[in-house]
Amino acid sequence: MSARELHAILPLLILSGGILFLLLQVSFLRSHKAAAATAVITLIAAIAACFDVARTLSQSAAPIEVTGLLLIDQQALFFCLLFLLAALAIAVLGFSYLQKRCDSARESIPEAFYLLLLLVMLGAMALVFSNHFASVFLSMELMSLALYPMLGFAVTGDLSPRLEQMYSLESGVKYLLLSALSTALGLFGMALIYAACGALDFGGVAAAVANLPRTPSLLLSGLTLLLITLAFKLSLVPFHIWTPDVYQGAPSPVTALIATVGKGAVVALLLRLFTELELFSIPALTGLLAAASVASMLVGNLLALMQKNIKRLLAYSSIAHIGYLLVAFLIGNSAFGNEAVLYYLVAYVITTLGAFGAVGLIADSALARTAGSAGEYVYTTTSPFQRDFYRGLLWRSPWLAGCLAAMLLSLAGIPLTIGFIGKFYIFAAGIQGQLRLLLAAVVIGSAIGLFYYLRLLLTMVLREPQAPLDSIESVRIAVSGRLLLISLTGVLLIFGVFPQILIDWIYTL
Amino acid sequence: MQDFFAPFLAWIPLLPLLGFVLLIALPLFHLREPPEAVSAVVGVGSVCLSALLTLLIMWTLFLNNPSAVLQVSLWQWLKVGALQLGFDFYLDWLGMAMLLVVTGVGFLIHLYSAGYMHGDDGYRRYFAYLNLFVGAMLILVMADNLLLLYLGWEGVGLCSYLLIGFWYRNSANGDAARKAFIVTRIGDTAMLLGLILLFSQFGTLSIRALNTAAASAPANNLTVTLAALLLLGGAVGKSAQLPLQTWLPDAMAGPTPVSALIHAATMVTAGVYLIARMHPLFNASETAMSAVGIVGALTLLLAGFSAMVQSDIKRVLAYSTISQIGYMFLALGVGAWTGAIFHLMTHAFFKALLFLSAGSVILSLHHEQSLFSMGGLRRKLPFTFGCFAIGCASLAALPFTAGFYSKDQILLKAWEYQGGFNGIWFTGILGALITGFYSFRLLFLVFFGNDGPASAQCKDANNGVMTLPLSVLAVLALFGGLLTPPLQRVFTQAPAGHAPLWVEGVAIAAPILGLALAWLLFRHNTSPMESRGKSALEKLWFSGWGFDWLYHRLLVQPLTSLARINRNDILNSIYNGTAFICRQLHNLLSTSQNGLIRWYIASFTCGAIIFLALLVVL
Repeated sequence: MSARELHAILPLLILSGGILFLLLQVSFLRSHKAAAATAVITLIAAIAACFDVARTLSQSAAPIEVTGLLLIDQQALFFCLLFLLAALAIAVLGFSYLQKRCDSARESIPEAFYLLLLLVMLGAMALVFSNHFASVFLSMELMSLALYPMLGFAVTGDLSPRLEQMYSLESGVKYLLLSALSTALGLFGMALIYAACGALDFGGVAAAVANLPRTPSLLLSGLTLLLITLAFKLSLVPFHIWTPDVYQGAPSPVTALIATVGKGAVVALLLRLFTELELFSIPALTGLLAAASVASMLVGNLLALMQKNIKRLLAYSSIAHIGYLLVAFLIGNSAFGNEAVLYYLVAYVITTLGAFGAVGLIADSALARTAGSAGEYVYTTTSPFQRDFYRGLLWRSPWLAGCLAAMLLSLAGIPLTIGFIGKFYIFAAGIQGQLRLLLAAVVIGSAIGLFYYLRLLLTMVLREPQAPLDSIESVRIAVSGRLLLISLTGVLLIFGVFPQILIDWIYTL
Repeated sequence: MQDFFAPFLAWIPLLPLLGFVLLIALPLFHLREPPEAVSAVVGVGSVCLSALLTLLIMWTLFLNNPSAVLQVSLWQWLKVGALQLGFDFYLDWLGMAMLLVVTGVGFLIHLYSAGYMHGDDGYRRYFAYLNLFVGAMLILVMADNLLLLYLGWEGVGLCSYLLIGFWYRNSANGDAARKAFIVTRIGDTAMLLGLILLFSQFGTLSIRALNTAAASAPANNLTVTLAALLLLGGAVGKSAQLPLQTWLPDAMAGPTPVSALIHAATMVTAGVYLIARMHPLFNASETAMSAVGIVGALTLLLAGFSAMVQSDIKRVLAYSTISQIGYMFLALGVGAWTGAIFHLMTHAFFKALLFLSAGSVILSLHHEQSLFSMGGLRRKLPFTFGCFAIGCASLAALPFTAGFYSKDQILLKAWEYQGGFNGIWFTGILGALITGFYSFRLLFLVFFGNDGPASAQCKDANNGVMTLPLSVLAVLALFGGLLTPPLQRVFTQAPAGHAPLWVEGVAIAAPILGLALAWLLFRHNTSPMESRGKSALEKLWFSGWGFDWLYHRLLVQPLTSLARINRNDILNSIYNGTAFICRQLHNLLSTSQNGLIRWYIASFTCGAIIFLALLVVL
């Protein structure tokens, strides 16, 4: 491994170093704040490393292959940057979450959260860089294995409400079981691919596919099984069924993590897989994806329609959003489709982070210590995730409601938000690729989506007619949480009003 | 000099619009209603500044220069293919005359309103709407293209609606507002069609380009005629001319200064301005010209007859407004462009005066409007009486009042129209007689004779801010005839020739005859047309020739009965059905989310099998 290659994987090295350092740090110094600081510093250093590597790449202009397992190119670095920024936001959200629930005097271990977060990031970034089925499997498993305990993390925060702990545990177990099943199928698929092509690196498989006169069914079956694994991670219909339960039960920051980084990394892999292996030319695979996309848009939106739990609602809506994203993906190996996927993914990550972030912060603020038997926290209201809790939010906390409203409008694709530009891209890409059926599904799905987004918006504006303005207690949220939501809203509006900044950037990749 | 003043031009409409925004936005910063003084200063001040600016521009650029022109482009408004429209203003003497009326009379009425509306809950709202109106009217007058003009046109329509229904707690006012909006909307639709036709034919909406193109088009071109008639449709709606005149009498539901500003002095004359502005287009079509003249002549007579028998002080004035605008249309129809605009100006003076003094009367009598409850008020309200008398004299065009000069111009031009005696001229003379009759009948009933039931509680409600505008308007109504705008460069029309002396004599005699008739009837029967039963003709006139009844039968009833048949909107079931289907699908899909892990694994496996099966099929 040359110095050049070592430099190219600098972000990964920094993350690994950070993980080791954090492990050692925790053995000497048990401090929530210190652990959070280490995690944040590691993430920022990794971001800086990403920029540094990108600069080197732009000078040499050729992607750098590292040991045949990883391939570092501009696009992958862009994804990494996006995920690292998302991870930063999740660290902030996690801090607020843990601060409320962990008591240093008791046996809670909030430091583990940051360790796991960094591990997930390492897995996600390695997945984005993967150029070999072995590294795909390894990094995907790394990501999943770190996610299981994170999903059930409420159990370790010993002050969480009892119900929250149960849901969290359920979420972790469900994801573990189903993920194991999907990984098994994916692994079997890779075996079939190896049997058909005799190679496991993307280049080798691509060469074998090109040399074969027609695609053998062995290879096709292998690819389909792999696709099923990826569809599971993306929660595409019909593999979506775990999504609401897992999203609802998990701590809100982890929900945001799995919805943004977890899905985004898989989209990045899918993009690289289809481009490198030239799978766009195989109609069976694109047909499967198109079917899954249409089904996701319709089923996701329909399931969200009357949903009363906000986290479940956002879970369903994320199913639909990945469906939209696939439309751009499906127009094939064109620069425009690529651009549309990247733009939509950025929009999706920002709005999902903002939405789950706002929901999580609101729930944190509703926690209050009681003199309960075990001394645990309970929610002041019955459940802060029900829609009724959001009734009149605008009057309790105008800026918070404003941020959440911006997120919802962006999810619905209303102009002046990044979501509108993203959806516009999807339409433009769909029309360019003549994907009429898919576009029809986008239109129907968006129309249904508008209903439940706007209904939530309306709920926030409603005011109890009797309650005078000043008697309503306001929502208290830490400054870091406020700053995060406001900056996310700012980015959402800036890219919504001046999309050219981001478009130009993506265009140079 | 021109370059220096061009930027100021944009501020003339912008100032009232800023006033509007400020008044509307005040509660955002301050949760309570601001004190009346604040609203008044913002509302009146913005129009006052605008009027001063107009005067300044008039003084420096226009006064001694009949061909002065000022234009300014603010920004590109629309750019769609060949349709390129800017926020462009253009001002010549025609526009300047209108500008002076709108800002000058508008300012006086704003000032009067500050006193008249004192103590009203909606004081701030009132001035906000009034400012928006002035802003929209100024855009209308200064627009350099028809779409911008249309923007102002719709803006004033909206304000008219808002202000007629200003006291919205009384549902009758709401009905009147809706009626005004819907009826004028019919005209507006015709006008929009006219705009589209003009654009499709000439590829531009610039007023000057269109006028040049129309002037060079072959005579009696069908498209030009059609376009002119469609524009006439818009003008007829806005100016309450036959057959769309029915909304104006009901529009009196609004506060009286509103009636003075919108429904007498400015907005309702927008139709006249439109035709004058587009005069080369109308000139190019004989049909359109005669249509304008006939509409004007008929309206002036029909409305005049109706005005003779009304029992509500404001309704008399409303019908007289319709009738006077009929004069302007008549003038336009016979090509007396200058006369029409001149009459528009003098009419604005004396009708605003009449409405405002009627407002003082109404306020003094604690919102009593029935003529037969009044009487003998000249002793109790001497100042108001003086103003009202001057207004009536000017309305009736008694010699040496402002109304006399403008109406005389029109009648002379009508005489010339077909080189001698003709129907249009005769209608004008007859109308003058009727005008004399109804204006003095009004004056006598209100101010002469014995005290009516309401006169006993009379308490002079005039205060400083109300007497000042009344005095200024009274002076204008008397001597406004000297302020002829130099329009000879705008309208290249031949100066009026010399008609026989007896024609002039008849024109002077007709209103005086009307006055005498009114006096005779008043003396003969102290309260004419009240004590004795009404004849059928009087009933017909009283109801405005039964147009309301006709339209109700012909249009409203069929429509409402259709609506009643379709009470459970058939088309709506499509939407309800969609919602129903979505809800059902949601319920169906929700059952799959049962939380059981074995079911989840089973569904995952099924999904995988489906994928593999699809692979075989694809």
